[in-house]
Amino acid sequence: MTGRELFEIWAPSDSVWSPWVSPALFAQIECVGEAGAVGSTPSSSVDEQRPSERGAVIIDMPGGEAVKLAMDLAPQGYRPVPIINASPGPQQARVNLSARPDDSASQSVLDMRSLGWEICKASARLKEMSFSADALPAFILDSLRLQGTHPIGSYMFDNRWMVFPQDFPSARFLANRQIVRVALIQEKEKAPQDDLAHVLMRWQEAGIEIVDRSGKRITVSRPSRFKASWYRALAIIGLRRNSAGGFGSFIPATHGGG
Amino acid sequence: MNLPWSVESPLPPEEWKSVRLRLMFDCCKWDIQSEDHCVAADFPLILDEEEWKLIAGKAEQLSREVLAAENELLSRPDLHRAIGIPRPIRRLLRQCVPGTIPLGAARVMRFDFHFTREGWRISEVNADVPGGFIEASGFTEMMGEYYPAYAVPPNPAKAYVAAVAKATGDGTAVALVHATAHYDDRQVMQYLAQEFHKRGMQALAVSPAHLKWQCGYAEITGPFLGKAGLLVRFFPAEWLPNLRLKACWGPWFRGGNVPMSNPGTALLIQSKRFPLVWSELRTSLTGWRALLPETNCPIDVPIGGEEWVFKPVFGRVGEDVGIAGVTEKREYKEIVAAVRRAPRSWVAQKRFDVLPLETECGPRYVCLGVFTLDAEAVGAYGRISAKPLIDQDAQDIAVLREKGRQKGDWQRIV
Repeated sequence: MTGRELFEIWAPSDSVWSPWVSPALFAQIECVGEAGAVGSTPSSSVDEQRPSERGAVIIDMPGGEAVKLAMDLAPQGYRPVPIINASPGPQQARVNLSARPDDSASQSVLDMRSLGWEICKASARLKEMSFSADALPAFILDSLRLQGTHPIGSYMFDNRWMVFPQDFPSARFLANRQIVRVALIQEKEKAPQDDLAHVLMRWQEAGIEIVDRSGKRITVSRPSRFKASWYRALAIIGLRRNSAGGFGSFIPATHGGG
Repeated sequence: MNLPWSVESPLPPEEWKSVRLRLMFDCCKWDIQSEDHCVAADFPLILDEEEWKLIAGKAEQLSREVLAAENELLSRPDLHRAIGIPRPIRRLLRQCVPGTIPLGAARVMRFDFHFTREGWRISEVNADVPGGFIEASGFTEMMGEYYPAYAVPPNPAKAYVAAVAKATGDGTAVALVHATAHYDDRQVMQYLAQEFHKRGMQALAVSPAHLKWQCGYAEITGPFLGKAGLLVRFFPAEWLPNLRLKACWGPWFRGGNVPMSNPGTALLIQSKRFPLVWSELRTSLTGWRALLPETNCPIDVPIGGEEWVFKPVFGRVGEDVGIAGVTEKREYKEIVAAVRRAPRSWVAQKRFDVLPLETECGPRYVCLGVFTLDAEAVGAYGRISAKPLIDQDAQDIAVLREKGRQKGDWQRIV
């Protein structure tokens, strides 16, 4: 299946959430082979998911785990919305569904093989599912996006990434869809990652309640440089400096073209 | 006063859906959504043919002048601090003598034109790493298919690839150097790589740290191995010193023998403080003087004054541009405070009033970026905004040309 075909499954024209499905990953992968018996294991914590009613969900989990959770929520009417603004590797990724991703050395700082595999695996199932017009979104993020999965070695491909408020619908848009609550599902109960806090804080300020997976209210603290005009630039310079610590690698940075 | 452009009706939703999808997958436009809006407009801007010729000619003149100025500035290190060149780069440029000046090829830049009551003005040049290739090339051609009554301007990506091919020769690889983790930049490199591949050329999208310099020549390391025949840089020159070792970035400014598009020395003219040293230069800058609004160091103007626009010396995509009454109040206050703290990192440009264009969605302000390649106009990149500032809230708009329409036929707006 080509990336474009995959994208059309995840971002169908009849879904109000499709504009936020990021094409970056889909444009750089293709799926081959059949999943056959190599099925996806159910997410380990599926029983714990109790998303609130009339609430959106953000799944900020490591790699493929985030996709699996989103697919577990899909039968409950949550449409998976992947927001993965990253390149899987230096070249087009070919995902072979007939074999699980192995643990061989990755060329990339953020190994996205399990994420790509789960996306490919879930596509056939998602294609068969139907969602109501007012289905709630389950935004899919990779919680490893900021730190990566591998130490930055010489000549590795640095594909770490960040989310920005521009990557999500505005609070006004959510409110217009009667969404008054957002459940944040993370691996551990902790404060949202800094980049995501910038998104959640805006929503919180607009009156949207942020809750954890058990429905307990989270008060998002004001992240540093919240709404600062140069947040975007500074944030990525920060990420760049992290990599600049080793900096013998591919360099993430803010939008460079003028 | 007559406007030089108008807009056509939007595409029907089904056709727009198809364009949007092709834009993402055929043209690598991955940052197509920004919060609640699509960053590409579903209608084209129609530019008068004569006006295109006029501004293309102006852009070519500006390009010739600024390249000459860059050359002169290279021999005037005494001016580099005044234009805000970072210290590590200044040190290298000081040692730049004939024979060590990096080899420029396929010099590409983009001039941002605005239409005002006084006629055409430019707000800046992007002489270092100009963006807009996808929008001015693939997107524009795609929209042109749906509006056959209009002509499509030259395709800057194709012209660029042809110029690089000419400078490189056959059989060598082109390194597309960029910040790999930033997908806004990576998408441009992927798009250009596609165009190179169509010509049968090898193009590798790498980071600057993937280049190993030896005697001024760059070898590509890591997952790709080979000698780079030409370096296309989409990584801002002022960021290069963030690479720890000078040996990894120095050749961009001094000693690089491999053709570069663009060399690091482009930073000399990318600086928005470039006009502050015009009086020190012998180069004739008549085109610039006619089109660029008065520019000063902020310490010489009332900071926060309404008639001035404040811009960071190396700002990009409209970030941190402060315009009283246009920039959001809180943001403007922050910018003014930053200007007061470090006025030499900013520039004050006399404000000009852009004439709005009436559209079905209300008044819109247009910025027309004209690409030049080795001082020849090769394409137009349109952006349209609800406010007189082109930033992340603006939309990309395909620019098509009216065939044979006379200037006087255009909509009157006052």
